[in-house]
Amino acid sequence: MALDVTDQTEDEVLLRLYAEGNARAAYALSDRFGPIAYRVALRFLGDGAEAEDVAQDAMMRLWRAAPGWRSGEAKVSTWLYTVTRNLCTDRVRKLTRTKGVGLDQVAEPADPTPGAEDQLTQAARIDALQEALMQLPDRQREAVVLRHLEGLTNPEIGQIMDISTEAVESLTARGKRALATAMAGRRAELGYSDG
Amino acid sequence: MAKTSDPDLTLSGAEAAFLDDLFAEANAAPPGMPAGLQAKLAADAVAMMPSPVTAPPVAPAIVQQSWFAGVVAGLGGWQAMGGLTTALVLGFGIGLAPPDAMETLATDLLGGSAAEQIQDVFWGFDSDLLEG
Repeated sequence: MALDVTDQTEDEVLLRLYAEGNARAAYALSDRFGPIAYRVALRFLGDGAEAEDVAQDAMMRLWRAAPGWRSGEAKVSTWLYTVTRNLCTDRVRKLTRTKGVGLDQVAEPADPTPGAEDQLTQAARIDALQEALMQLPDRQREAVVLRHLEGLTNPEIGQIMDISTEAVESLTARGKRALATAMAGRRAELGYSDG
Repeated sequence: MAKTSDPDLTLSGAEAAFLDDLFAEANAAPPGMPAGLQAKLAADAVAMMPSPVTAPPVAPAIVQQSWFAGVVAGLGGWQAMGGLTTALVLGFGIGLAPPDAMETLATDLLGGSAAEQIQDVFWGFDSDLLEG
């Protein structure tokens, strides 16, 4: 029976249709998962060009995995988060090995001369958050991003990072503590009153 | 207060609210895809897509048959060969050592002299086989 591809079609069904040569499933999957791969890679790496490469690589792996995908073993999204994270980790290691610095060290520093308060926008706050995230150790950043920006549960994050739920909680708590400290001096600059 | 098991990691209410606001704003405006990336991903997806599954036409199998298999088939297959062999062995055994019932049956059916003649033939055949 031919299945119609809609926004509500389940991930695994789409993947099976793709493996059977359904072009509509190919477009639906790249629309659904491409932005996730790019967004997560960007938040992990803080570098648009690197994130673009990682997103393409992660999606290529999804296309290769589709024909042998075993139903019920893993959620497609969890699989993609795991692959994207691993690719980001590889990128950071490679960069550290070849240049002796991590991506978080080459990320743009915070602008020391912020503009007037009326120019602060939501985008500026998001940029400030990303800058603070890039100051965190890699694993803390990954845990915080997956928990608070991707909205995953601690067990899901544990599966992706291959650590226990307790370890996820610890990484998240330390990451948020460090974020709060890093952002403390920028509250007024970002339009928040001291409280 | 956002409490954790480690008091050093505990966030004040203001700190927790500040971070929650920032996370909410970031979630409300996720980073968009760079121009062209979505098209690249879709092109990769189509390029990597397996071809639609179509069953190849099945050619009839050509079976090379030996002459012996031909003979077996001509006689009705292996099942018929089994029955034929059993009958052959039994007949040969009865010929060599006919049971008493056979003699009685032959006498009843054919009469005394005819039965004796047949018996003589069988015994003679038996002796010929055994003595050469």
